[in-house]
Amino acid sequence: MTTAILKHPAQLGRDDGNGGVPARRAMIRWAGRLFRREWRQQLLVLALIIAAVGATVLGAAVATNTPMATNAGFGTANHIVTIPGNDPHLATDIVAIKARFGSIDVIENENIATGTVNTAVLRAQDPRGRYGSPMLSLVSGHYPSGPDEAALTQGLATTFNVRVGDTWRDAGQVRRVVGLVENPQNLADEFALVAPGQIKSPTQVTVMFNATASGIYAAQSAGFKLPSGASVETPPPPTTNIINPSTLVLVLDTFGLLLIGLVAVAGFTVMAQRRMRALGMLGALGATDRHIRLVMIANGAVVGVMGTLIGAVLGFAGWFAYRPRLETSANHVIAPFHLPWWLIGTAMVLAVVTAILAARRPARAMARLPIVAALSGRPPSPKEKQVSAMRGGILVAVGFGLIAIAGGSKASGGMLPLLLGIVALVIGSLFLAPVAIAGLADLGHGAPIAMRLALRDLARYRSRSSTALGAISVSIIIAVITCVVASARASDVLDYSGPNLAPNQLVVYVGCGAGEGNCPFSPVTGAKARALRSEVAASLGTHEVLDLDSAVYQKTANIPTSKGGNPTATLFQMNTSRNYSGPLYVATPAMLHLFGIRQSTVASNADILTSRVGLAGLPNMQILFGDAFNQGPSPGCSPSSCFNNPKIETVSSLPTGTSAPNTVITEHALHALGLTLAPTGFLYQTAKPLTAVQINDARELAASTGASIETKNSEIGLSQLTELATAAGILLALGILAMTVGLIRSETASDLRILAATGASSRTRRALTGVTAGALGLLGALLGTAVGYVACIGFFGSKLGELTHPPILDLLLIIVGMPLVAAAGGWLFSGRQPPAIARSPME
Amino acid sequence: MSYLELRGVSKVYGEGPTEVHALTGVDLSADAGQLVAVMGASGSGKSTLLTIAGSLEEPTSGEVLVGGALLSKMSRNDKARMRRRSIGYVFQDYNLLAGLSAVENVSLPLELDGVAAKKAQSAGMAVLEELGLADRATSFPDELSGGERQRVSIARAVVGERHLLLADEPSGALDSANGEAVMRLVLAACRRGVAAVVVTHEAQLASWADRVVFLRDGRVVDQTEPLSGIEESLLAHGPKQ
Repeated sequence: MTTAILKHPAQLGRDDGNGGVPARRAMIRWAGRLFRREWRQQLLVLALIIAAVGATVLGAAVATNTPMATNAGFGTANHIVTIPGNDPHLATDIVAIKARFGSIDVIENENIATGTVNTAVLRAQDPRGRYGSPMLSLVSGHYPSGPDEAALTQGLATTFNVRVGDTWRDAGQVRRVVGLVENPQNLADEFALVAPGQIKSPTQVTVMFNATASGIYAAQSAGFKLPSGASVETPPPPTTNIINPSTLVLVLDTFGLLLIGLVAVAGFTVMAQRRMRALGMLGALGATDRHIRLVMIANGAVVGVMGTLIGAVLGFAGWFAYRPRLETSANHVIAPFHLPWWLIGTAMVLAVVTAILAARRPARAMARLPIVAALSGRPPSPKEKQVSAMRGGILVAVGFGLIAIAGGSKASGGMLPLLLGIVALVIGSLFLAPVAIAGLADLGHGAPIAMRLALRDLARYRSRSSTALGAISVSIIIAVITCVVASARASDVLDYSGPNLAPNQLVVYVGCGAGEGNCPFSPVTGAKARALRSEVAASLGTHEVLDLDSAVYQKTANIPTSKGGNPTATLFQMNTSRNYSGPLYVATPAMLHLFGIRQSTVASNADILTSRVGLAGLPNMQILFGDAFNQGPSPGCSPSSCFNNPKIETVSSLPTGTSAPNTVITEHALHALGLTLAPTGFLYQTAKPLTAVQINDARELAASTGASIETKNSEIGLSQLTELATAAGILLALGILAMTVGLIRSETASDLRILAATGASSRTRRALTGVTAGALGLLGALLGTAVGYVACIGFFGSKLGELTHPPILDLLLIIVGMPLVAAAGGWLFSGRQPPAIARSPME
Repeated sequence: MSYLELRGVSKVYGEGPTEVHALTGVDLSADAGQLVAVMGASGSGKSTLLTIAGSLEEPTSGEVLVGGALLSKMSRNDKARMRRRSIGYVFQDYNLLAGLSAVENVSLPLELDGVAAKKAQSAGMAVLEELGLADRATSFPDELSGGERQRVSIARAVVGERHLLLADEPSGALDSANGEAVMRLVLAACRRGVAAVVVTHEAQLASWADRVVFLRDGRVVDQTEPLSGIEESLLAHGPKQ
C-alpha cells in the first residue's frame, strides 16, 4: 500500500458536523438493508400495524357506506307527497300538484302477496322520470314497455322462481319477465316494475317534485291543500354531529395505534439490543448521536411504511371483496371508491407516525449508550423506574368519573367523556404497571431460586417489563370490557338478543298471534292450516312438528289481531316499562313433551316457564293481555287486563332462540286468567340443519296459502362475540409477552451462564423463563381485568344489577388460562438459548 | 511531533468497594509513521488504553491529545468527526456491519462525513484494490473468510486521510499467515505516515513495532525498541494476497 486514497473528506463533503445528506442517506440505506435481513424479528409489530391499517380501511369503508343516503327514497327531488290509492280525486290531485310546483314524477305502488313475511309491491314508474330515475336501475334485460311486461327485483324473481323470459302470474294477470331491476338507494325495496299507467288500483301514489321552503309557504298561503290522507316529506338535513361513523373509526384507530405503539416500543427495543454492537461500531467509526438515532428511526419508519402499505392493500382487497355483501345487508348500492379518503389517509399517516415515535425511545437510549458498552454488547444496568401509584390512581379515578358521566348521559352525548375516560384508564394502567411489578417482586422472597430470580429480574428491568405490562393490560382491558358489556347485554332477559332459531328449526306463521303488532297477512285457518302443517312436514321429512299457540283474552278472542283489537298476552316489567321481547307461546303438553320436559317437574302453580336465566328473579313483573295495551301498565291492574307477579320458573330444556318458544305461558295461567289459544304457527325440527332446498320448498308451500316462514338468521350470538374478544385479547397479550420475556431473558443471559456454571440444569433455565412469562401474564390479566371492571362499573353506574352475570368462563380464561399458557410457553421454548437473541448482527 | 499523546491518563470504573483502577498515570505517545505495540496480560488495561486514545471513552484523569487537539475540550460531535476523519479502528472480531457490502463498509466513514455515495465508494474500491480485495467488493461480510473480513476492516480504518490507526488484537482471530498479512498492512500504513497503536499479546507480532509498551495492572512498566531491520524485511514480502 503506497498512497492515501482521498484528500481530506471535509474538502469534498459538507462540513456540518453530521455529514449532511450523504450521511443520512447511508444510514437510511443501512436501516433498509437491516429491515430486509431482520423483518422476521419485527413480525409482531409489522403484523399489528398491518392489522390496524387494514381494519381501519375496511372499517372506515363499512362505517361510512352502511347508513343509507339521507336522500334515499327521494331520488333527486327534495319533496315527496304520498297519496293513498283510495283517494277518489287522485288524478285531479296529481294535476293540482303539478300545476302548483311544476315538474313532477309519479310512482304508483300496489301491494302484492309473496308468501313470506317480506312485502313487495307492483310499481309503475317511468325509468327516465325526472326525479325518480336514481331509484331505479336495470340489472339485466330491459325495462317493461307494454301492458303484459314486467321487470322484477332479484329477490322477488327468486321468491317466484322466475327468470328473464319466463311468465309471471300475479293476482290472475300474466306478464312476461323482460328484465331484472333494483332500487340502488334501497336494495330491500322488493318490487315488480311495470310500465307507467299499468296499475289500475294503486295502494299508494308517490308524487316527487322540487320546491323551496318559500314556495311551499306561498302555496299554503294561497290556499293549496294536500289531498285527504296525503303526507309531504323532505329529506333529513345532513348530519353535522362530530360523533359520526368516520370519527368513531378514527378514534378507535387512534386507540388501537396507541396500544400498537406500546408493543412497538418493546419490539424496537429488542431490535436495538440485537444491533447494539453494530451501532457501537457505527459510533466508533465516527457516527454522531443523530446518525445512530436515524438508523433506528429509519427502521421504525420502514416498518411503519411497509405495514401501512400492506395493511392498506389488504384493507382495500377486503373492502372490494366485502362490498357486494355489504350492499346486500345495507340494502343500497355502494360505489367501490366511495370511501372516506381523508380518514384513510389520516389513519395511514398515524400508523407511520406511531412506528416512528415508537422507535424514537430505543433510538435515544441507544444513542446515549457509551460506545465501549455497545461494542461489547453489554447494556448498562437498567435504571430504577420511579414507582408512583399516585398518578396511576388519579388517572383511573378520573377515567372512572368520565365513564360514569358517559354512562349516565344519552347515547351520543356521552361518547366524548366515554372515550376520554377510556384513554385516562389506559394511561392510568400504564402508570400502575410498575407498581404492580414491584409488589410482585416483594412476594418472591423465600420462593425457590428460579422463581425468586425471575421475579427480581422483572423488577430490575422494570422500565421494559412495565411498558410490556401496560400493553398487556390494555389488550386485556379491551377484551374484558367487551365481555362484560356483552354479558350484561345477554343478561338483559327482557330485551333478549342472539340467534333467532337453531339451524334445524323452521317456523311457519299462519296467524299473527306471536306478538306482532302489525300483521302483514290474513290468518290461515282451519283445514287450510292443517293441510299446510302436513305438507311442510312432509317436504322437510320430519315428524317433529309443534303447534305454536299464543294466548289471547277469551272475551275479545273473536276480534282479529290484525285490527289491533286483541293483542296476545305478553310480559311487562312495571315501573321500568320494559317490555318482554319475543313471542309468549302457550306451554301445551305437546310442547313440553317435544323439549323433554315432564309435567311433574314443573311447579303446578307456575305461570311462566322460561329458558332465560334471570327472568324468574325480576321484580314487578306483569302478564298483560286483553285491553291492557289501551290502558298501559299500571300498579293496580284489573283482572281483565293484567296479572301481577306471575310465578316464573326457569326450565333449561326450553330452546333459547329469540323466535323459538324460549318463554311460555303455562296452561295453569291460561285457565286462571281466562285466556284461550290463538293458533300462530308451527315449529318444525329436523335431524340435520335445514338445506336451502328444504327452506325454499317450505316457503313456496307457505306462500301458496298466504302464510310465511322463518329460519335461522345470521346474527352473531353474544357468546361468539365474547369468545372472539377473549381470544383476540389473549393472543395479543401472549405476543407482547413473548417479545418482552425474550428481551428480559436475553439481557440476563450472563446470569444464565453463571447459573449453568454453578450446576443449574436446563430445568432451572426453563423455570426462569416460565415464571417470568407466567408472572407477567398474571399481572397483566389481573390489572387489565381490574381496570376493565372499573370502566364497566363506572359506565353502568345505577344499573349495576346488569353486571351480576359476569362472563365467568372468559374471565377464567384470561386470569388463569392466559398466565398458564404463557408460563407453559416460556417453559417449552426456553430449552435452548435462542441464538438470534443472544447474538448481535455483526460479522 | 507526536500525533497521539496520553499524559498521566487514569481510568477508574465503579465506585466505592466496586472501584477498579483500569489505568493509572499512563503516559504514551505515537509519532506519525510510528508503530507502537502494547502488550500485557489480560486485565492489564490494554483495551481501555486504546478506547481512551480513540476517544471512545473518557479518562477519569489525565489528558489525551490527538493531532495536537485536546480531547477533553471537544464536544461529542467534534470527537465523532475526528474519529471518522483521523482515526481508524481495527478490532479482533472485525466488527463489519452486516447488511453492507465490503465496499460499503469501507466507504462508510466517508459517507458519514458527507462524501457522496459514489465518490466514497470509488475511494473505498481503490483501497480494496490495493489490499487485493477488489473481486470481493460487493460481497457481504458473511460471505467473506476471516482473513478477508479483517482486511476489509483495515481498509475501512485507513480509507480517507487517516493519521492514527488503533488496532485491538487485529490478528487474534486469524491464523499465523493471515495474522502476518494483517500486520504488513498496518506497517504499510505506518510507512505512509500513519501513527499506529496495536494491542497484541503475540511477542512475534509486537517485535515488528518501533516501540513496545508493557502494561501491568494499568501501569506502564516497560518500554522497549525491537531490533531494527525487521520492518524492512517484512515489507519486502509485500501484502499477502
